[in-house]
Formats: sequence, C-alpha cells, structure tokens
Amino acid sequence: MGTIKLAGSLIMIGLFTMAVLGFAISFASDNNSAVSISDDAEMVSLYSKTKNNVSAFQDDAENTYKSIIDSTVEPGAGTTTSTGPFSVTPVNMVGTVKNILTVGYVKIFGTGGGFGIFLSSLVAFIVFIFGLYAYKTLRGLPD
Amino acid sequence: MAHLYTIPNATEGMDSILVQTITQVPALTPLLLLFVYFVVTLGGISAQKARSSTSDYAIWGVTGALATLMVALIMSVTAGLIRLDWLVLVVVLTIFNGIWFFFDRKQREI
Repeated sequence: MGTIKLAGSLIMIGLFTMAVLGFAISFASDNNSAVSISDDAEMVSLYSKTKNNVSAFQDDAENTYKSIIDSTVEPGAGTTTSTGPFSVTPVNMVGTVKNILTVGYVKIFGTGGGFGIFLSSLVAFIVFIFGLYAYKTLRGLPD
Repeated sequence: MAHLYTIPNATEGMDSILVQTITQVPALTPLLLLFVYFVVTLGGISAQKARSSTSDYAIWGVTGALATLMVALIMSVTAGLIRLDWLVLVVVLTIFNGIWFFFDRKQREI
C-alpha cells in the first residue's frame, strides 16, 4: 500500500468526514430544517473531534517538514539514522478513523461491547504497519 | 374498497401526501432511500462494467451514498418525512463508503 498512500487515505477520510458532516449541519441551518443532524450530540462531537485532529495533523506536518529539511545525511550513508520522516503522527490520524468508525458502529448497531476489540485490533494493525515502514526505511528488511 | 391504511388526503399537496403516507407506513422512508442508493450504485457499476468490462465498486458506492444523502437532506426540510435516526444513519453510511473508497485507492490514484 505504501506509507504515503496509507497516511493520505487516513487524512482523506478525516477530511471527507468533516465535509459530509459540515455540509449536513450547514444545510439544516441554512434551510431551517425540521430535522437537523446537529440535534444529534454524537455527530456534532465527531465533527469537532475530527476537525481538531486534522488541525493537529497540519501543525505536526509543518514541524516534521522542517525537521526533514534540517536533517543531514553523512556522505556514503545508505540509510537515515532516525525515524524523523515518520513522525507526522499517523497515530493521531489513525485515532481519527477509530473515532469515525466507533460513532458509526454505535449509530448502526448500538452500544455493544464486542466491537471494541475489532477497532483496537484494526488501529493496532495500522500503527504496526507504520512501524514496519519506519523500520524498513532504516534497515530495508520487512516487506 | 378496503385498504390496509387510511388513504391520504390528496387535496393538500404532494408533501402532505408523502407525510400522511409515511405516518401510516414508516418504512417508506428507509426503503425509498435504499432504492436511491441501489439504483445509483448498482446502475453505475453495471453501466461501467458494460462499457469497460471492469467496474470501480468503491467510487459507485460513494456516489450512491452521496445521492442518498442529498435526498435525505431534502427530506429533512419537511417535518414528518424522515426521522433523525434515519438521517444520522445515512450520514454514517456515507462516511463508511468514504472510508472504503479511500482505503481502496491504488498508489497512483491518491
């Protein structure tokens, strides 16, 4: 899949969620709708949480970009010596997707406890993949 | 002639007919939305497959979900056409289709 693709997908999911929820909320407000998505507290909460996470990603991305630009590689060195390029807090964006999936699941199936392990495993797996990508950059072993 | 439910009063306009029908048969709203979703999604998938022998299921899923969301939002303007939980469900399913779509993209497509 590729780390750029994976991180890109996570960001796009966050932006898509914000766009859909933002449009639905604004539509209800503009048209004085009888039924408004903003009457559902969990949806409004998801909207603000996703917005905060995407904003945090923006700040982290700027800092990481600066660290990449400032980093140096010794002549003849084949690999980098730090995982700086991977510190754009993908964990934060994975958390965003987890929030979206959790709220969505609760809305469809209710507050069942069984889904928690699925979400935790999924999030752990995505974080694990990011870890392997970082390791691969340094050592080139896993694929 | 006997009917299963009270026939709506047709002298008060189209909105009123729909509201009265949905009051008698609440399942009409979700079935209508399901109809929109499947017409767009399955129609798009089969039309694309007929032309190019392959089809992008994820993007048609998102297209169908967004079309359904538009219909649901328009229905939400009038009281009695759609309940809040159905509207929330449509929004959630649209987002889930978006998650499927963005995880489905190939490296060069994002």
